[in-house]
Amino acid sequence: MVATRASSFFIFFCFSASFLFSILALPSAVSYLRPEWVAMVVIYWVIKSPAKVGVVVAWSSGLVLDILEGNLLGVNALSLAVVAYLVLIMHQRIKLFPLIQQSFTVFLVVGIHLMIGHLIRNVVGDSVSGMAYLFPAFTSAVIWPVLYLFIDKVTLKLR
Amino acid sequence: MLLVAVLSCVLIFVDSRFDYLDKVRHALGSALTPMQWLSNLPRGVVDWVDEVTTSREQLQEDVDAMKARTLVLERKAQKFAFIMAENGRLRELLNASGVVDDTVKVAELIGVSPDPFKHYVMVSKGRSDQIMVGQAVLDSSGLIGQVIEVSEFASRVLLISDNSHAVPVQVNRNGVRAIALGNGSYDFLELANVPDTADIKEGDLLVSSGLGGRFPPGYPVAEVISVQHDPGQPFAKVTALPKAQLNRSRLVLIVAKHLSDIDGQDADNGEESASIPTPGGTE
Repeated sequence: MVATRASSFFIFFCFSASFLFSILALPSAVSYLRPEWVAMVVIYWVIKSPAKVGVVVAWSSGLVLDILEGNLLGVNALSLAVVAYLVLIMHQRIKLFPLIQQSFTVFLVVGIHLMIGHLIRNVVGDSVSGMAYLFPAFTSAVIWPVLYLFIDKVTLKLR
Repeated sequence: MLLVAVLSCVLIFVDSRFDYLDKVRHALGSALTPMQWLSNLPRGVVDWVDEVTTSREQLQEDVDAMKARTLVLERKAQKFAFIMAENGRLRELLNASGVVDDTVKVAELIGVSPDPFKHYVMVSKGRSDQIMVGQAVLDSSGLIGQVIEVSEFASRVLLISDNSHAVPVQVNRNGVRAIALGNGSYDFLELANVPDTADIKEGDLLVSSGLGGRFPPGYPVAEVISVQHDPGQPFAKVTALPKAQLNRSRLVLIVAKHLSDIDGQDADNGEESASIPTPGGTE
């Protein structure tokens, strides 16, 4: 797709927006389906500008998310760092994938992100039973093409 | 990557076992409070539009209804003053410690948990308003939860319906004690380990017993909605409906702890419970 040189400011803005979206109040019926905005923004920017956004940025954003959500410090930090690492390894391939295939990759990667969080929470004894915690992986995959095209468009406009 | 992974594992471990990180959490949490405010903005806008578009007649009706309600409540309060005084005298006769009326701070809800598996809310009072971890939080009809984390201008309140929450309660009718466990649903609490023979019936009001030392005694917590006796099970299964509107309240009351009382209470708790075993007789 388009090789854009996004400004650091815009990247920062994307992350802030994703934090906001991930703590926005939702009706409780829908809240099981809340997409993992921060994870998706991490994936997007690691694909688009791996020089700027890497494991460390993902880790710090995870830390911020932990504080906002009142998690144990480090849960999201770890899982988002893993997300960034996985995507970083294959970013050159993902970049060339068609959107559908990208969605599928996002599904897997966000799933891994959720599972790591779930695992850690189980280990420290704050467990949740059932598979409902994986729903956001579906919604994230569904939202991904829209988000991807949207940020692409905004970056183009800003250039 | 390895460094980051190790660092996060250390963080998780330290945070789950010790409280060294509370300072960090407090500082960052305070810095991020504007984010919480922002996240509540859509709701604020909806409320504002709602307010602006309400007709004058509607407002007048509301005011009238509230005036009527105030009258009713004031009548109750008149009696209450008398009963409090009488209660105080009776307690003096029994040599029990006096009951101190709790002081409360009103706080506004500024955010709810984004994670459906965790029940907490953010409220608009923090350390700058002398809120401390462990204070009980009420709404107009009952207990909501307790403060678990305080930043400078906001604090996090764990609801009684959260998976990890438990309140010591007693049946208002006869003083039978139990523990009400949250189970991740706003609609009911479960009573843990209730013997089959315990005198708990449908419709009983459960009030906080104050036994854990965390919640002040006497606030309504829940109403029993079902009691099931299964001969195959060692305990009866009792479920109760929380009195407070856990997912609806906009304004909450944070009960202030009397520091001097708590210090004194710890000291004489032992002797007192030995001489007078009235539940809720502390404080």
